[in-house]
Amino acid sequence: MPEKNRAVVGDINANGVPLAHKVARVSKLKWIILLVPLLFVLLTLIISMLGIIKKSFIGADGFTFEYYKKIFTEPLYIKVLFNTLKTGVIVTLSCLLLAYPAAYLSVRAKKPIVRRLITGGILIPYWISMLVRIFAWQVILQTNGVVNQLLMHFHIIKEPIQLLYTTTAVCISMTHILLPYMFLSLQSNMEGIDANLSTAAAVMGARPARSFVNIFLPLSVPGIFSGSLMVFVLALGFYIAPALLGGADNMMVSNLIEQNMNNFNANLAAAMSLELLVIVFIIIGLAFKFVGNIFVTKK
Amino acid sequence: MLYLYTILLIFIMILPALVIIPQAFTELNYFKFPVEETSMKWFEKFFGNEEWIVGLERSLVIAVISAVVATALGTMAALAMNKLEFKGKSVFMSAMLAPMVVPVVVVGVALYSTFAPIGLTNNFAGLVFAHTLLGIPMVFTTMLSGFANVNENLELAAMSMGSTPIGAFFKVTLPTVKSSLVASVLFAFVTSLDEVVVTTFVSGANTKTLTMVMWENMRTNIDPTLAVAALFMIILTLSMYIIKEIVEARSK
Repeated sequence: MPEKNRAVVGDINANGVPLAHKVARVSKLKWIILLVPLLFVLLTLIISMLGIIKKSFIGADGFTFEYYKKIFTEPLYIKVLFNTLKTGVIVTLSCLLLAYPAAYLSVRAKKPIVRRLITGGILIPYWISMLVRIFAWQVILQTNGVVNQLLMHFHIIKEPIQLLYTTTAVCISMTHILLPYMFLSLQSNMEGIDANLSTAAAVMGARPARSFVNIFLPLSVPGIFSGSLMVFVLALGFYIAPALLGGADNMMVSNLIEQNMNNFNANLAAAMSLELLVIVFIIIGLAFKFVGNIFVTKK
Repeated sequence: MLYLYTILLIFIMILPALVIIPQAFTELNYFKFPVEETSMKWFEKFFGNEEWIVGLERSLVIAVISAVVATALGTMAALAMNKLEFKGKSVFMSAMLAPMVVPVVVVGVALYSTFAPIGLTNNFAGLVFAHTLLGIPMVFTTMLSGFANVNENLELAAMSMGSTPIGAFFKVTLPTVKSSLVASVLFAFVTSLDEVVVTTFVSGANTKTLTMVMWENMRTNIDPTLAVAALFMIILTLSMYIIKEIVEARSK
């Protein structure tokens, strides 16, 4: 913004009233816009969060570490935590590998319409209810569902294979749900990569593959990082997909938290909630250090 | 090659919706592909069952109220970030993003333990509070990038012409962020409509939303009535997307 065109708050307007005076008139009132939303989030979420932190340390006889001891020593809890991290890694890698070529094409497409179509196509599922999409996978992956019918039709398999209630089912649906986030992250980073660099490389005689590996790929690393961290963080908190598409072996931390709440082990649920939260915050903190806030898109 | 791959990817992304829509019109009692004989019997079953109808109505009412409130609160917060100078801006921002960053199950557990003692579980107001909370970060991030594009000179110009700061905001600033505002309302609406996890903790037998009824049926008895419910959800959420695209295209 050119500085000289900018009206200065000290300027006098046509009526001779300084602008500063006008702005000052709302000085008390303006804090409402800060306080009202802050108070709402404080009273609902923040206070509740403090409540569960307290709950995770208070047992029948006062202060205790027993809940934390339990979630870090009992095999079930360790297994579920490990499974959650494993699922997160698989889903993040699948999203990255699947979304990267599409994001690349969308920024390299000559016509803006191609770009819009690709972005729209990838983002449409984002606007279809998550529960509906998980329900659809339930139907598609069932023993006599589309996938099994297709595989049998082409004689790849003779008997229907069990897809529902497996890790595969959970990972497929989670990848389907989280892919748009990865795509957007990659795309917004790739837009900033100067296309002239690749042209220059081509002029200098580099083959497209070499110019991609040596120039484009390294420059897209920040997008890969922020997209992957975001997808991983979101994947860790998944609840519906493992509950409906996974078997007993696919339980994730969220499911175990819910189970403990239902069994009136609110303190254990609180301790696990805190565990999940700490992991999430560590990742977001790391992300913040290297690539900035992954939840706010930079324009 | 790349084009072929991308088309295939988009196809797979849309596939689940394409598979589920025809199932709402099936003659059979189970899911078969493709649907050979069509009937409207699952629609009759859907509209004949009070649980589904009441759930649908409740979902819509809660989504409208919480979208409006979340938009008001989230816009205020984004405006505060944009216009006010205060200490702890990053703390304030974290608080506004918290409902999105904290895993939903944790939000559910936290709200349940606060809401239960004061009678806000299995309660309409409690659900509205919970859904509003989840909508705030959606609105906040959308409006933050909306306000970033506003030219401050226009506001100052309006004020120098004799407008009050508040008048300048409503007459100059708000119209320029209209498309962000519409997108915010729609985001918050869809967030509420599609909410399952926090709702399982906060709602009860008297406050089941459409997604809660779907969720329960998906766990116990999967039949094509669910496909009818899914069809309504797809129509509702996709029309929000279309409205958003139209508003954005017009404002350009």
